[in-house]
Amino acid sequence: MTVKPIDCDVHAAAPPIADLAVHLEEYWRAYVAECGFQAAAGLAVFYPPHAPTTGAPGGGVGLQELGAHLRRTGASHAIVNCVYGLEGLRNLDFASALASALNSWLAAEWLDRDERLRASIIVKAEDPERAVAEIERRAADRRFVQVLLPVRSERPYGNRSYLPVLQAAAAHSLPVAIHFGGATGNPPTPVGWPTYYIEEYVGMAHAFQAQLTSLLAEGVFQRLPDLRIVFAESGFTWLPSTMWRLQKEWKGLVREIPWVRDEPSETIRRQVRLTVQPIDGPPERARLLHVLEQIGSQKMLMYSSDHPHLHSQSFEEATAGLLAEAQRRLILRGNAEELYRL
Amino acid sequence: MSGRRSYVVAQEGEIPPGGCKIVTVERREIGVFNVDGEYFALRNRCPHQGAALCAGHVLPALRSERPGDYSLGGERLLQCPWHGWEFDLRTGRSWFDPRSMRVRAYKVGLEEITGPHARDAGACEPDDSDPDAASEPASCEPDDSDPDAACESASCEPDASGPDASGPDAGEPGADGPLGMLPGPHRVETYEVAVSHRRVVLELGAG
Repeated sequence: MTVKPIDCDVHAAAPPIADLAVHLEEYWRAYVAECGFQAAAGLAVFYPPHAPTTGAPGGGVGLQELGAHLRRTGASHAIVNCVYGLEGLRNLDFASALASALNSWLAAEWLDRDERLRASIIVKAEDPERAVAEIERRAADRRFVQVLLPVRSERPYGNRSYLPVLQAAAAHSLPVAIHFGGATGNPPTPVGWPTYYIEEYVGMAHAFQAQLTSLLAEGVFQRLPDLRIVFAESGFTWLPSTMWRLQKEWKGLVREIPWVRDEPSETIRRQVRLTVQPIDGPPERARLLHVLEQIGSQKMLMYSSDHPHLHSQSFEEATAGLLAEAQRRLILRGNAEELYRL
Repeated sequence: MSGRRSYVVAQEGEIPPGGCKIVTVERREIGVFNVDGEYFALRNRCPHQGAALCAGHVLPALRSERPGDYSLGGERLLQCPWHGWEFDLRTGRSWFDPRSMRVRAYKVGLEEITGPHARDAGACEPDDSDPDAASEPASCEPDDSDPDAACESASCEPDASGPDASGPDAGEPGADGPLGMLPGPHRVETYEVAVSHRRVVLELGAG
């Protein structure tokens, strides 16, 4: 029986500033015109326009093309993540104004025009007061199903400066999606600046691991037991080893973080979800099954196409014939249906 | 060997507060701790990978209601020197998984033991003041498998506090007594009375 998937990660191309300006308040419209602002510079860094993995300039598509993609995959819903690069802007007032304009633009130009679509709320998390206000403003519109943060942040997300944003999301039953990319000025690897894009692209797994470790160690999961974190465009094969390591070291180092009373692996299984793309390509496909076993929960993975980003194989191709039907249904649909209450 | 078996493993004062003495009893290495006058005993073997657990630090338990909140609890934890796993000194239960990860804890405490009944753990005989154990003589041997521990094991001396004998003081009590009293002609026989030292007694087979 066919399952209509829920696509948990698709990309709207960042709008030109002219399209965004109509959603900006008067002062910021004037500001944009005065200073000639075109776009956040970071986007072209982590989605190089012609990189094969980027798929389309800016890493996103327009409404018509996305609609056609969803017809091809048969998805009943898709969550639009518009990656804009606000994290690299130092002017917090401007970045938060842009965030709000982006959300208005998403509602008007995407959600109002294709009922399959849902969207992630864009915020400037380094400006927590306005980020919280933006979450509260959008939460009433149930088409906004989560809050979007870039995985490469200014500080690890367990840091207390981000707590108000995470609290606001949890209070409105909105998961927080931590998504590939981000250009904050920090090097994209923990060992400094790399030379080539592949280093940054493949190395993004380290950023996801660092965020998971931070959220766990800082007690965010304990503090906000209703919070759900979605790692998007993260891949998932890195998870078991990180979980094992956290589980093991926690036994000896828990004294430093005494608020972490639950086993890290159980906490992670309860409160973290991951989208499947980019899916890794082990030489023998069946080895992906080992990873699914090692993750130890059928509830964690959620289907994504990551459209228009190009991956050498889709989730269906990578797992064809491997998954039990019940597990396949959970990944393609059930887990997202439950998380986003679709 | 079954039933309760008591062993004298140290004299009072021998293990200073904060200290630990490793004794070998019935082929087990056991660490006997004095924490501010309260005694605890745990098997000297971490259930994780066999480290000499009792060489670890004794730390106050730490509780937290939320991130950034720390309060020291009354429990004392022994932290394994190898990987930092913490075990409750009283129960032997690990702090992170009290249900299934634990080290054997033994009953230990100070007891008043006098005279010929006192036996030390080095001799490896049960304290036969315990009626249960008396009917069932110990037959354990020193643990040869660990020479280091053997030389550290208890070596209690015979109880020297008995009425052995320097006898009553031959001085003249009251010779220069108050109120100008003169020593009388009669003298009652007197004896020195000493309080027997208490011993640290370890109990095995206590459930």
